[in-house]
Amino acid sequence: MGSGFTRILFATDVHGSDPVWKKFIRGADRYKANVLIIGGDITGKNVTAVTENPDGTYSAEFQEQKHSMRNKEELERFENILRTNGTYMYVGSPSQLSELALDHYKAEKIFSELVLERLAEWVDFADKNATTPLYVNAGNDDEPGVDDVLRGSKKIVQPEDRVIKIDSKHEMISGGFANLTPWHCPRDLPEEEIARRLEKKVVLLENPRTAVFNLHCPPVNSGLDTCPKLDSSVYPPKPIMDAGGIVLFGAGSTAVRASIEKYQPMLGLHGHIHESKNIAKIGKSVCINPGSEYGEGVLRGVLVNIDDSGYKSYQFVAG
Amino acid sequence: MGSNQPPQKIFSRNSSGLVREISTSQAFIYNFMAIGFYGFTWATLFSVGYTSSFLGANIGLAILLMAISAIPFYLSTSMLSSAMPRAGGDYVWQSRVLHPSIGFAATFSAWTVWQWYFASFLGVVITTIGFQPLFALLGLTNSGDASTAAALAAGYGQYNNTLVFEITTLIIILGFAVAALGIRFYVRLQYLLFAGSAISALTVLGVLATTSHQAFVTTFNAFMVPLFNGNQTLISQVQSAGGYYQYIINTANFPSSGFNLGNTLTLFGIIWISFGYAFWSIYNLGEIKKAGNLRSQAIMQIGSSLVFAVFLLALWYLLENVIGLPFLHAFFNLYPNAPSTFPLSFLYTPYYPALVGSISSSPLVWTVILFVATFGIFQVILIVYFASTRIMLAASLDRVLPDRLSYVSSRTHSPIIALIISAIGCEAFLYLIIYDYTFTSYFSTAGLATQIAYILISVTAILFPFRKKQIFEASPAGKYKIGGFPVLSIAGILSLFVNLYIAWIFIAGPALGFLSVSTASSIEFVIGIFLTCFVVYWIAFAARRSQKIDLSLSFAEIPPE
Repeated sequence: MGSGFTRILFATDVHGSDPVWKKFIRGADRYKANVLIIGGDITGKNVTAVTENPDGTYSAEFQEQKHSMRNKEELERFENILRTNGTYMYVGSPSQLSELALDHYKAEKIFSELVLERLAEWVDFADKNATTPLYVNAGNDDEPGVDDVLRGSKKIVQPEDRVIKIDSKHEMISGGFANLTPWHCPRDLPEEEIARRLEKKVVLLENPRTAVFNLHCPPVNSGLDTCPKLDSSVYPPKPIMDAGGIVLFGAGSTAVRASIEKYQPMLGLHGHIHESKNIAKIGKSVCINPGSEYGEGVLRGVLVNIDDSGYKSYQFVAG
Repeated sequence: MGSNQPPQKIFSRNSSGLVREISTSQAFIYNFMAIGFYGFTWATLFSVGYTSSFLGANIGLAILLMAISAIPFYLSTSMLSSAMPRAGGDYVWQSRVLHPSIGFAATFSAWTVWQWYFASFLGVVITTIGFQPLFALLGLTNSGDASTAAALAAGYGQYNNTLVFEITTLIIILGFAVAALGIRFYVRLQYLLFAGSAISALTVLGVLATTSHQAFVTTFNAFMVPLFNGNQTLISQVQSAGGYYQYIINTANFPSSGFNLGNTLTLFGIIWISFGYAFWSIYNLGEIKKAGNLRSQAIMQIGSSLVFAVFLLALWYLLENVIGLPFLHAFFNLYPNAPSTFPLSFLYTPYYPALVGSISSSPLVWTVILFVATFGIFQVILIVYFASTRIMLAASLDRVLPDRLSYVSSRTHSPIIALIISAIGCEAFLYLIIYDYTFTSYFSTAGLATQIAYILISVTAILFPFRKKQIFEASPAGKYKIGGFPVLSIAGILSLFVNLYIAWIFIAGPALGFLSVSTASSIEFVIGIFLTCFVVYWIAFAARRSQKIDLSLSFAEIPPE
């Protein structure tokens, strides 16, 4: 590669999947990337409770299927399946699990502990194996405690509240928040607040036009944010059907779009909508969402090549 | 939460993506619409199945056996879909498990290029099954309509029939316009078209079900009298036979034959062409993989194909019992084998809807059976039209095809450039169908082309649990094993056998009457297009390399440890 050439490996929404995280770290060598960026939503969404039976066996229900493990070895194999899916595991006796069923606060606490414990393992893995600058942001699904764990890393840079120079020419601002969702996630914000925060970040840039906007939430109606429209009067929300088909719509942020339209950054890197792998141009800005297949243990990412003259090319990868 | 809360519910969070599933009935309609009432099988099965090429074949048994034989394939696609719900279908499955060049070549040739052929073929069928017979029936009492019917029927096989070319061109343009207006309009229209086709299909069944065999014979004989046009020789021969119904049977002199299982099974080729489309509507809502989703997918795909089989079986039963098997043999066999003696030549081609229509004297019934049937055919054209852009978009995003192909209109959210290319492709095939005598009958060739894709899906299913072990073991499908061997691989093996057999039918099976060309030409054409797509991939590989893009990385798995 010539001087001034930078290859970014961008992935997002890894949601606790162990193999995806590890593939991402190793992706630097595999893809010859010299900057690694994760756009947010790094923690998982579910814990699977495993009952430790009096006879030394274990039982659990996962993906609506009953699993029985005869010994610790089989339990370990089961845990690997959970880790691939981004799920956490909690092993308890029948009485412990019954107690947790009554104590929502305690269950939440355990959930948080498992989330942060795996994240700490990941940070340790990155510290030992990362060979390139590594920027990992929290997304709207990630609880506040995530930031402290990331900041404790020797190699990971948490880019949320700062301007990062990813190479000699290009700056990056990051925002892990998203517009309000039916699930009231920890970093969901109203559009006005998103707009305010983006303005605060952009003014710190020397040159927005050569910058990278690493914003977890994609711009609205960009093709990067297409997903089923949901009826959120019920929980969990239900897809809206019309004439035998699922109604799709753009769930992205108006504030993000407005900011991109106004400042025309070189590149927008987005996630949040897993099924919307796509590339779009908003004016001169190239915006990309690589999508996510974290649940299958597949690293979905995009390689973006930039140089001193700006954006050069992209390539979606799925490894 | 109560004390009897199951353990797995203790730790559910209000995390994004948790979505309720759509109802069973909604999913079923979504799947069934992919097959449609009126499509390739409906258009060709009864016209070809009763000819001497399939002597001794039992069409009803063929339908039933095909429905059962299709189950392993649907099981394979359901399991692959449940294991990789966001992958985007067989293009990605094959690219990951086999090789990106194979994934692209197989799916682009089968689901894009050859779908252009099918769309054009069905566009022509709209005239031959719908418009022409309707005008012919109306023309019995109206000379203007009779002239239109004659113009639509001009030229054997519609070769060089510019009127049919123009009408089908308009249909292709209409399909483009509908697709270009965006998915919301397309979905709504498709729903209406499906409803119309259901009404037409049920009317056909209803007319047959309320007519006895004797009533059909009497009505048909009376119907044909005005068509003798005073030909005394013919009148005399018909009187000797005891009516035109028997006259046709005597003229055809169809050889008698006992039941032939081999010929019955070779009907799989025609039947599978429609059955196979049930997997096109694979989708998955939300990211939570559940055994329930796998079960739902399997049930919906198998269920929708079984409902289609029931419809075909009902049609078959009524046709044979009301119209009569000897007459059906005679009627459909005279057209390809002795066209100069083919009765009802004013109806131009031997499709059964016009025969059914002739039972009624009501123009309204004719319109519902014949014209409204075109709604269903157009619905399937829209499906193949829109779906033909799917691979183009995916391959464009993956940098195999030019970037412009993935351009989506910001207003209508439709892939305009890809649709334009599809329209051009359809028109090119239409030109060949109408103006190239040797090309017209490439139906069996198109069937063979799509078989390549089905065969590779089966191979992918066999290999997936071994080549993508981690993904497989982490999916609901991973739990299903027999003696430690993945059920997905077993289903893939069975599906492979069925699809190889069907490919053999298109290569070496009996000629499909007017629907097939010589085997050598078929194979050359199919392989030619596949290899062209294969070469396109490697050209893209070389071109992208110069842009510092290595396509070998697109689907290459990184070992995590």
